[in-house]
Amino acid sequence: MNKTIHIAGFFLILASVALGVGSKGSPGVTDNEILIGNIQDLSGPMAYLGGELKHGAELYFRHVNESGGVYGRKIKMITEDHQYNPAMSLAAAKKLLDRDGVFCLFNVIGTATASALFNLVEEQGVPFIAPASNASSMSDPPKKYVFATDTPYDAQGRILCNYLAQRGDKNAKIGIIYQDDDFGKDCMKGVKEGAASHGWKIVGAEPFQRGSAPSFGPHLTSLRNKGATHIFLGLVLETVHVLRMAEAVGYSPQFLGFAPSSDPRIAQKAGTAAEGFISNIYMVPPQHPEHPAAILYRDLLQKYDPEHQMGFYNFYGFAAAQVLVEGLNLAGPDLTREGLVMGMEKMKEFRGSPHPSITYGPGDRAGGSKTIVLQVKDGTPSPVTRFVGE
Amino acid sequence: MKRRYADEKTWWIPLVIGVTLLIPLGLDSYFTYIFNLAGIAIIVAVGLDLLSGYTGLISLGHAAFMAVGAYASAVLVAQFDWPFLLSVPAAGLIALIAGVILGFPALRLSGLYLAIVTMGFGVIVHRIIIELHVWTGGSDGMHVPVAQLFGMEMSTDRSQYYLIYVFAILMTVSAKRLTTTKIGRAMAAIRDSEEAAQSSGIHLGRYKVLIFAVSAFYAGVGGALYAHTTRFITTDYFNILLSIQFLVMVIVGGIGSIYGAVLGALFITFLPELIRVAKDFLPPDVAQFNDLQAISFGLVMLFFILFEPLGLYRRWQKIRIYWKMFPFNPKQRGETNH
Repeated sequence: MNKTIHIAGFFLILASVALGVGSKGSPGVTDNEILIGNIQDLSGPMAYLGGELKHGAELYFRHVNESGGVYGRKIKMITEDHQYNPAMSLAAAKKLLDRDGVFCLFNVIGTATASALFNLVEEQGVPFIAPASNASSMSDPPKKYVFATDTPYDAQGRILCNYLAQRGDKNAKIGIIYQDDDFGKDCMKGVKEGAASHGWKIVGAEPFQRGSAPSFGPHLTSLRNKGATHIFLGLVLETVHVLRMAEAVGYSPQFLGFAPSSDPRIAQKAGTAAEGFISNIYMVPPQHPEHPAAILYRDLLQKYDPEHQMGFYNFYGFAAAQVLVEGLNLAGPDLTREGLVMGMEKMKEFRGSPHPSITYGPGDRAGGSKTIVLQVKDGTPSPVTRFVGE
Repeated sequence: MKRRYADEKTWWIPLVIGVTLLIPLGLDSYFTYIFNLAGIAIIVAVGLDLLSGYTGLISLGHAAFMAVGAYASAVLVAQFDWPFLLSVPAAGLIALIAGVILGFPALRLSGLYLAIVTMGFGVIVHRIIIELHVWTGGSDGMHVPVAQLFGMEMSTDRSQYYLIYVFAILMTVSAKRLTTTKIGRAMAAIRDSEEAAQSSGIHLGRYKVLIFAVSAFYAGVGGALYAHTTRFITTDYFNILLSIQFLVMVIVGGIGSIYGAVLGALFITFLPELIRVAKDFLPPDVAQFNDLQAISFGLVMLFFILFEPLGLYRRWQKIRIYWKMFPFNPKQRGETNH
C-alpha cells in the first residue's frame, strides 16, 4: 500500500505532461453542432448565481435544439468553473479554446473574471457574447469581439436620478453607501454624474468593505447628520441590512438601489423596511405577465424543469442565450467567428429578449441603455416606468 | 584543493534544466499557461519558504508583495515606457523596499501577532494601489502590456514559459545556495530559538529585515511576471486567500526545504486544473456536479494532512531512501517473514 502511494503520488505531476498533448480541432462548428464555452463561478463566492446562469442558458438552448437548432446545428454548451478568480478564468478559457475547441465564449460571470479574457479573445479573434457583468468596462472602450448586453451601473445611476427629477423631487441631498470595489465605484460614478446634471449636492459617500460584517449604524448616522434626503445603495445583499437598520432607528430617506438590489427576495427579507425602496433593472423580470420572453421562459421552465424555482438570474442566463442565438441567426448558415461578429453587428433593435432593445454596430458594443425603475409596494418591487433611458 | 561543489551530487541539475526546457514542446497553450502560473508560484513560494519556513516568520500578507511587484512593473511599462528587462528587477526592488518597511515593525513580533501585522500590511497595500488609481486603474483593474524583450514580444504562452522558468530556476538555485551560507545558518538559528541565536552573536534585527527584504523581492518578481503573463491585474486577486494559498504550497511541499516549496507550488497550481481536465473523463452525471473541483481539492488536502504532514519533499525523500535500500528495506512494524 505504501509503495503504491509513493509511485502514484510521484507520477501525478508528470502525468500532466502526457495529458498536455492537446487536440486542435476545427473551431467549434460542425454540420450539426456548435460548441459554446461558458465560464461561471460554480464553487466560489457567487456559486449560486453561476449555477443559475448556466441553468437558464441551457434551458433556452434546449428549446432551440428541440426546434431544430440554428440552421440545423444544435448548440452544445460546456461550462467551466473559475471560482471568481481571474487567473482561473483565463485558465478555463484557454482550456475551452485549446482542448475543447469551442467556437465562442459566452456569458462569463464577474467583471474581473470577464475582463481577464479580453486580451485573449481580441488576440485570437474569438467572439465573447454577453459577459455577465453590468460594468461599463465591458463595452467602454469597445472591443471588436466583446458584445455586452446589460445597461451598465453608471447609466443606471443616471437613469435613477432622472426618474427622481421626473417625479418631482427637488433639492435632493444625495448620500451614497457603496461597496468599495469596481461595482460600487461604477454606481457612485453614475450617481455623481446624475446628481450633477440636476444640480443636486452629494452630501456624503460612505464606503463599505465587501465581505465585512454588515453593520451600517455608522454609515447611516453619518448621512443622517449630513441631512441626506435620498440615499443610493451600491450594495448587493447588504441592502437588506441597511433598510432594516434605517427602519429600526426611525430614519426614512428615499433609498435607491441598483440592479442587484431589485431582487424580490431583498424586499421579502427586509419586510416592512423595504416599503417604498426604489431600484432598477436592466431587463424585464421573469414574472412579467405580458413580455413574450418572460412567457416563453415560464412555459419552458414548467415544461422541462418544473421543480426549479423561477428566478431573476436564471432568466438572465436565458436572456443571454437568446441574444447569442439571435446573433447566430443573423450570422447565416456559413458560420465562422468573423461571421458571428458581423452578424452581431447587424443586430438592430432586437426585442426578443427581456433586455431593452439591443442594437450593435461597428464600434458599438454596448447593448441596452435603458432600465425599468421599480418601487417596492406591499412587499414586492413593482415597475413604475417602462424602459427609460438617460 | 577540491573544487567547491565537488562533494555534492550535481548531475541531476542539468537534467532538470533540460527537462524544463523541453516540456513546452509537447504542450498546448492551456497547459503551457498552467505551467507558467506554476513557475510564478514557484518563485513566490520559494521566497515565502525562506521567510516562513526557514526563518519561522509567518507571513499572511505575501500576496501584498506580489501585488506591489505586479503593479510596479505594469505601471513602469504602461505609464513610463520602461523596458521589460528593467521593470521586472525594479518591481522586485520596490517590493523589497516594501519588505524592509514591513520588516521593521515586525522586529518585535512573532507568531500570531506577526501574522496579524502582515495581514494588515496586505490591506494597506490594497488601499495604496486604489488611491494611486491614476496610474493603476484603481478598482477597475489594469490591463498590462505584453512583455517586450530585445525587440520581440513575449505574447505566446510558450515564450512566456521560457521567460518565467529562467527566472524560476535562477531564483530557486540562489535560494538554495543562500541556505548554505552564513545568512542561511542565521535564519535557521532564528527559527529554532531567537534567544539562543542572539547569544551566538546573530544580530536579530539586521537578519530579520534582510530576510523580509529578500522574500519580498522574490514575491515582487513573481508578481511582475504574473502581470505580464495574465495581462490583467486587480487588487482583489491579491488577497488573503492568495497569501494562504502560498503558505499551503510551502506547507504541502515541506516547510524549510526549498525544493519542497517548488514541489508544493507545482502541486497546488496543477491540482485544480488536473481535476478540471479529469472531469471530462468522468461520467456526465458526476461531471455535472458544480462543486466537484472544490471538493476534490479539499479531499486531496485532507489526505495530505493525514498521511504526509511533513510535505511532498519528505515523501520524495522516503521514496529515494526506499529505492536506494531496495531490496533490503527494513520491515514495517507488524510484518513478519512469512
